Parts: sequence; C-alpha cells; structure tokens
Amino acid sequence: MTETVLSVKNLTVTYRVAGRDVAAVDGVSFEVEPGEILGVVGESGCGKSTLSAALLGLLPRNGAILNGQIGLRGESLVGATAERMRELRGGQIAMVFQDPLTSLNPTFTIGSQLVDALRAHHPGRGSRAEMREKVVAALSSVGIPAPRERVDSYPHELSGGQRQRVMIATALMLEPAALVADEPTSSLDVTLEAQILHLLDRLRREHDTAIVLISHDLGVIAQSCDRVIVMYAGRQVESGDVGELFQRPRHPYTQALLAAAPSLSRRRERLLSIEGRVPSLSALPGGCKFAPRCSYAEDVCHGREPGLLAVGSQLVRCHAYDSNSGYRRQVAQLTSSREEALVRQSDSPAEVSVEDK
Amino acid sequence: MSEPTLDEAGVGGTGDRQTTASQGGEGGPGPSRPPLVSIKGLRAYFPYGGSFDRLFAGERGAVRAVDGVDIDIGRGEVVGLVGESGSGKTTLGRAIAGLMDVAGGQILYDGRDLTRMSSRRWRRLRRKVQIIFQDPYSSLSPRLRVEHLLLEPYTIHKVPSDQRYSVSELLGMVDLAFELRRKYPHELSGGQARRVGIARALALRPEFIVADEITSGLDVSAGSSVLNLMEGLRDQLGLTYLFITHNLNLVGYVAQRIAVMYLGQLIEVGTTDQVFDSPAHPYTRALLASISEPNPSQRRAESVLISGEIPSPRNPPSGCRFHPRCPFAGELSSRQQPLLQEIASRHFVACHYWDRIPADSSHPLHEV
Repeated sequence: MTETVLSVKNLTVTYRVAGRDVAAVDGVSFEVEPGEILGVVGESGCGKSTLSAALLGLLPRNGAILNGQIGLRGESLVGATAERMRELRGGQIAMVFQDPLTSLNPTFTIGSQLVDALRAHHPGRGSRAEMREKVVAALSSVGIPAPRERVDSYPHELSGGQRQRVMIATALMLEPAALVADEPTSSLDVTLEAQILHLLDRLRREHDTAIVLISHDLGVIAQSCDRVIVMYAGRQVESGDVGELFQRPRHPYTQALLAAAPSLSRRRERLLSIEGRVPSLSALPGGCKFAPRCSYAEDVCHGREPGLLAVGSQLVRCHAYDSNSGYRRQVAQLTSSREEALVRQSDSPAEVSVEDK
Repeated sequence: MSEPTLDEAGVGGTGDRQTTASQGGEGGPGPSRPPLVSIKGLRAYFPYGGSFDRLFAGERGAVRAVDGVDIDIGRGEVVGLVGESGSGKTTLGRAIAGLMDVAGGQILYDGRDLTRMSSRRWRRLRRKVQIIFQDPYSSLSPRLRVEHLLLEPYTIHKVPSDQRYSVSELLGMVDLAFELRRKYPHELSGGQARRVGIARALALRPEFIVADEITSGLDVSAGSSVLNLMEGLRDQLGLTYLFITHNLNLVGYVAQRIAVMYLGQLIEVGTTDQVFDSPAHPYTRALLASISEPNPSQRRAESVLISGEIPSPRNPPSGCRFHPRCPFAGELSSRQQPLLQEIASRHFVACHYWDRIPADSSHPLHEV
C-alpha cells in the first residue's frame, strides 16, 4: 500500500471576470502516487494550466479556489499561507513550465540560482563550495555539456532545451515529492522532447517523484504517463489507465482527440478534426459541455450534464453510457464518414463491459 | 494572363506518384518530369557581428544558414522539408520565396532563374510564389480588418479588378464565415488567423506555396483541420507546396516526398514511404525514433536517442556535419563531406556509411 503524494478532491477554481465568477476548473479529483506519472490532456482553454497553477499556489490575483481540497503528503494546500507555500514549492512540490525563462531569474547565473535553491530547501548541507559541486553534478546528470563552465552562464546564454534541463536538474537535486510539468516540451524539437521526457522518467524511477504532466500532445502523454485525465471546459470527461484509454477511448471527445492526433503509423489515413472550438468559460452551454461539438449528441445531452460513470476501468462523463449497466447505449443513425471513422476507433457495444467494475 | 507559360499545365500532376528511376542527369533529387521549382547549389548566408563588432572587435563572418542545397519540386507535388530549429529550413523557404538574398546557386522556377531576374520581372513572377508564415499575428497588420487584409495583396501587386477574388470568395476558400470580415486579427483564434494568412496567399492565384510551420502552436484538432484545408486546396487549385515543419508526425499526411535538413544541408531525400519506412541516414533515424507516437504500446527506448543538440551554424563541424552526434561515425566522417547519393530509385542520402548501419537499429517504431 503506497501512500498518495498528491491528492485533489473535487477542486473548483474560479476567475473573477467582469464582476462575475467563472469556473476554469470544475470538480476535478485525482490522486498521484510515488513514482507515478499522471497525464492531463485537453485543448487550450480546457483548464489544464489553471489546474497546475492551483496545485502550486500560483493562481493569479483574480483566481481563487472556490471548493475542494489539495493534499500534499497529507498536508492541505488550500488555505496554506503564502509563506508556507513558498517553503513547499521547489522542495516538496516543484514545477517545470513550457518556458523556463519565466522561472529563471535573468540577472543571476544558473549556478547561483541553483545553489540558492539548494540552501533554501536544505540548509546546513555543507558550504557554498560543496553545494556548487552538487549543482555541477546535477547539471551533468541531465546532460548539460561542460557543466563546470555552464554553471556560470546566465539563462539567456543557454538554449531552450538546456534551460529545460536546468529546471529538471533542480528537481533532481531537491528531490521534491511531487512535480508539476506544464507543457514541458511544447517549445522543443523532437529529439530534445524525447530527451526531456526520459529525464522525467528517470526522476520518477530514481526518486519516486509523483509527476503531473500537463500536455496538449497525445504523443507526449502516450509515451510517458501511467494514467490520464482528459479535460474539457474545466471538467474531467474521461480518466483511466493510459494503455486502456488509448486503446478504447470511451468519451466522444477523447475519441475525437485521438482521431485528430497525427501519427507516423496512421499517416496514410485522413486526419480528422473536431468541428468548432472549446466554449468560452463565460458562455458555457447547459448540459454536457461537449454536446455542441459532439456528433453523437442527443436531446438529453443538451439538457442535463452527465456525471462521471465507471465504464470498464475508466471513468467517463457521457450520456451515451447507461448508468446501470455501463453499456454503451444505441446511438442515433450515423451519417457522415467522420462519424464512421470515430466509430471505428471506439468500441462496439459488445466490447464495453462492467464486469471488472 | 501575363505569364502564359506559367498558366498552362498546372493541374493534372496531382496525385500520381512517379516511381520509376529516371533521374535526367541534371538537377538534384526530384521527379522525372520538368520540375516546377529546381534548386541547384543554393546558398544563403546571414552576416554576423553587428557593425559595432565589425568595427571594433574585428569579428565578422557569415552564418551559412543554407549551404549548398539541391532539390527539384514537381508540379502538383508536396515536398515536406523537415529538420530541427537551426537546421536552416525556414531560411531555405524564405530564399525560395524571394525574401532573402542568395549567396550562390540557382532557383529555377519553370526553367527561369529567379536569382538573376530583373526586379520588374521578378515582381510579376512573385505572384506565382507565395509564402505562408509561421506566426499569423505578426504577419497580419493589427490595424486592418480581415476584409482589408485579404484585399491588401491586390493593392500591393496592382491586380486589375477582373482578376481579383471577392472577400466572400476568399473567406469561402478557407472555410471561414463571411461575418469574420469585420474582425481585427486579435479577435481571431489561432486557427482562424492561420486561415486568413492562407487566404491572403491564395488571393494572388499562386502556383507554388511555401508553407512555413503553419500548424505550430495550434491545438491538435485545429492543426488537423488546417492541414486538411491545405490538402483540399491543392487538389482544387492544382497547387504545389513546400511544406516546412519540425513536426514529423504531421508531415506524412501531406507530403509525397520528404527532404531532411541538418545544419544548412539536405542529408536525406526520398518519397514519404522511403524516408519513414526505410530511413537511411543516422540523423533521419534518430529523428524518427524521437517522435512521440500517440500510442502507449509503441514507447520509444531510451537507447535509440541521440545525445546533444544541433550545433551553431556559425561554426559547423568538419566533414559530415552530423558526425559529432552520430553513433555510426567512421573515419571518413570528420574529414570528408558526404554528398547526396541515390541509394534506391529517387531515394538520396548523404552518409559515407549508410549501408553499414544495421537496419534494425533505432527503428522508428521500436517496441520496448
């Protein structure tokens, strides 16, 4: 029985916009265990980055946690003082962002920033010179060439890939219990992306770090994660084991996302896309938030928002699944080729089972 | 109508892939019919060291962003140009579109050398060659409404009114609602802005389009729909594309041939199937092996990854430019620059040792 590192229960985060509160994250729950990588995937505007900001206590001024809990090794982060959050950040819960330039101070060398981080979180672990050696070792372990010289470089002197490595080196050094990586490879080329993802994998293997990996890229999620949450309009619409979810996506949104994801091995097929856009938070449709873009939507979908339902080993928020049996209900006549393609990817009713529930 | 020779043919070439080996001797790797675009030994340099450096520090030189590129592009063909940041692919695209001074070599467009053309003739030909930029927001004037942005190319090129598309025709071509004509660029989504950029390029009835990273920064679904739009337009209008991207997963859907660039040079050129299914250059293999396939049962092995990053083009390595990162580099690699050689029909690779690399090493879809 492993203890949970990060647990999020029914989290709702709102932004105050033009005198009104709009929910960017609505009722999200998950747990991450030591050494586990949980993926969070969805299009822009689905609430992924709000989720990461909430986890780290870095919500903007107009953002607030309206409801729910965030626990880090049993300690509640909701309502924690700014001072306590500062202590926890870096040492207990670390972050890697899309653009590491925003997390590195441009006026100090890499070395002095990393030494400061080390001293702040592990005071009394030796002299400055010893810490510097630790920093050099960390930089070298993430594959930064000539680390002894690089340690005296300023952030702008490093390439994007190297800056991202520095962020991961920090995490390796401080050994945080949890790491939130928000689009860590989005601005990198494929070869660097692969290297960075392998570093994250090492982090969890060698230090048992619990990692939340946020990405819009299904390839990144498939390559790295153990479990996945698919988000849409602030809600989790599907979650489950990565192998299962990619093999049998159950929510129409997950199915459509997968059908739109370019893949080397499916390159002879036609790439599909989802009509329309993620709705604006201030103008969310009633009922299922995906219904306006969903090719299976029926009257009930527009009228009432579905709850999360266990289907096989997954949780799915969709009216197409029967709440008693978990079976996929008959859907209306399919017309377009796009829908047929989606069906090919999805499961036929017979394949859905609730036995393992 | 001013360029009758350019207006004929055009269509008809779409779809049918040439598979027979018939390299006509001259020109680089390409189709057997007379190519629409033929690039020979192209070089494009950026000077470095600002005037201050050059005056006082004596530092001067040139970054050889494109350093000797040969490739032919047939009518109706889509060639994917792939490579990492710093490979020179954007510079190559800009040079072909006439937006960069060329340091050497030729760009033959329908047989005529653009690098030696008078600026007056070039301006007329330029309508036929359009570029769609990476970042739509920086290429669309923020102070013009969509309708003005779409008609702007006509004013610039002084196109007679009977040769113009209407705003509604242009919006229709890129599947945008007519209502969008009154919007400003900042009111558009990324995908919509991209489409406005495409419509602007189409306004001048081009034959050849350089599409530079047109899906980057878009969500998966928006990217797919822009890609599908480009394919549809090619079929309808008989266009030819040079499709520049760092996204290898994506390029297989549109391109018939792929050219892989590394530090200013092409290191492998072949049909999409050749490059993806039997990549010959160690760099191509490494690139393919690095792809994050959206399939958890095809996870890549760490062992297939290449280390390090693309070096600065200021000071490229000797011999084969990839040799410092190459696990298969041999004695010749650092001494002699390998040239593109045809290893199978229409499949070219620039590597001294391509035939000694075990076929199964770093296969793109290596199961772990």
